[in-house]
Amino acid sequence: MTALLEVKNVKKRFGAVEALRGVTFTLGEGEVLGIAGDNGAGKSTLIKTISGVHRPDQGELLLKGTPLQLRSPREARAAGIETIYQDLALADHLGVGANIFLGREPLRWALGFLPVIDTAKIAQEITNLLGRIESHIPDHETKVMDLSGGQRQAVAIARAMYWKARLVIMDEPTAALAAMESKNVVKLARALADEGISVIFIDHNLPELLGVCDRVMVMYRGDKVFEASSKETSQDELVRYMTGYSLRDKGVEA
Amino acid sequence: MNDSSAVRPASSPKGAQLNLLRYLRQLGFALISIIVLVVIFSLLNGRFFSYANWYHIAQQVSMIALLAVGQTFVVATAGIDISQGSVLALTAMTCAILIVTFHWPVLLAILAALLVGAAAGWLVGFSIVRLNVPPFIATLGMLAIALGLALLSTDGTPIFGLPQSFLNISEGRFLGIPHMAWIALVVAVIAAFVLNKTRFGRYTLAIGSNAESARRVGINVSAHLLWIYSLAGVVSALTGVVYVAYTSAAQPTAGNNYELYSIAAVVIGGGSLFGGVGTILGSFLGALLMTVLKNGTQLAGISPYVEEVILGVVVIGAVYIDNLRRRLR
Ligand SMILES: Nc1ncnc2c1ncn2[C@@H]1O[C@H](COP(=O)(O)OP(=O)(O)O)[C@@H](O)[C@H]1O
Ligand SMILES: [Mg+2]
Repeated sequence: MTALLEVKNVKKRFGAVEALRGVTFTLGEGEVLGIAGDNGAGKSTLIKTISGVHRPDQGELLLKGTPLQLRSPREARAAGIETIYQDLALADHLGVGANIFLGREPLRWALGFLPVIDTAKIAQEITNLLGRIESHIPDHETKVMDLSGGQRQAVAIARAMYWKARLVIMDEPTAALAAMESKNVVKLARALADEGISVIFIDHNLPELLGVCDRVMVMYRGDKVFEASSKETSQDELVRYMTGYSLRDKGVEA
Repeated sequence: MNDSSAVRPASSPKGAQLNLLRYLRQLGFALISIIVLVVIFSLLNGRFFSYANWYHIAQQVSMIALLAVGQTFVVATAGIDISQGSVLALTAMTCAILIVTFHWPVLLAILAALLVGAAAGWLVGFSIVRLNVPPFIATLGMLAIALGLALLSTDGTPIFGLPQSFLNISEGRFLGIPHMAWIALVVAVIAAFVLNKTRFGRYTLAIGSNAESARRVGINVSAHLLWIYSLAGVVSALTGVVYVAYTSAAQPTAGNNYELYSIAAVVIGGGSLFGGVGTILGSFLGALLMTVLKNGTQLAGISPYVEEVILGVVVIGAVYIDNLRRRLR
């Protein structure tokens, strides 16, 4: 598997807090990488340096071998790195199609000289897209405010898929979802990988994480302390590392 | 193992159906209220339902509808423009002074007035996007500035003596409908086209719905807001020009309170002060409702002071309904 993203010795400090103490990892193309870790371990900070929100104090990011200097989330997006935020950043009052095409609407000429949004094209593309991802979204006109939490996730994921993102970052995408909807989001993450898109998936639900990811890593107080293929590790092992493997083994907490 | 069908609600309504219902609910309130008011006022005064009176209503509604069009775009971005009435006054004075005192050709004077409106709107937009002043305060400031300038321009005295060619904007008619109503109609049709069919309209709603999401997809939110407020200024100026023709005079008190009429019109027509929603047809109906209310109370012999009280109550009531609607969705 060729490496899409290489993160090398990234450090980030907020005042006295060392949020990242030199994190290194590699992400393959079409690979789903899980990140586990207790609250405050630095997971969000790590992905925010990849999505252009934070700039690392030290270390570097390589995308397909070329150094990435991200100054803003917009630059990350332009490089094909799409982040699905917990707040999702969808426009509630607009339809599914309008959201997926927001900022990149296809145009046609009305009366030969007036540039108008090509709604027919959007309808067609969205119908294809929604068919591909099994989203249970009724149609492209449905306003986002009429969707459930899982369906909103699906819209955000569909947007990344349609615009050919190379890397999709999902920070606790199932945290606020009902069980059925979580299953669907997990399926969508796999669908992204099947299309060759790499995924970083942060999740507190370890069985779910092991189910969806090819590989998992564990963060502990700003360090990467463990990494393994999902097949070769277990929930118990992850928990041991999450709670501090070098400390006294606390076992599985309820 | 087919768990996917369990996720889908038994009968999930199509998005288009939900949208249509929502649209009808938005327009329904204004439409029913207009009918009720028309019936009541017709019973109170037989003259209400005459051609002469509806001609008069058409003239009045065109000014409120024009302002409501500008206000619809501003409100759709989750902003508000309370400077409309005084920008109207300032541009009315500008236009009249240029024609009467400086003998400018009518068209050139109108153009200059529109430019003044654009400048006022641009300044408002600049304060909002560059100085981070909230829209309410930015337009409150412009309200004071424009009114002050309008009063300064002639030391508070009105200007008369406009040529017939200019007065024809209001007095002339085409197909029995006053010219000024045609102007409002054309502007409304263009605005509806822009709001519903173009990227400009789509971004207007997107910014009002979720400015952060608009920013993240690369929409230049600041530039867009500058355009919106500048164009709203142009529309206020156009209303100013029409107003002068309608009253055959320009005075610094012109358009007093008109922003309240236009805000009420937008909200009654389904727009939300929280942004992301608004239709030109709805706002037009809202403007008609406000005009019928104004005209009917006058004909019923109710004091203009009472009319102001009613206006205030209607504005607050409309915003209350906006709140209820948001809970309903
Ligand atoms: N913007 C910030 N300013 C200051 N401290 C921060 C900031 N973001 C994160 N931190 C701190 O960095 C540490 C790691 O946080 P975070 O990356 O959010 O962890 P996680 O996502 O694993 O729960 C925490 O101690 C947190 O308080
Ligand atoms: Mg976090």
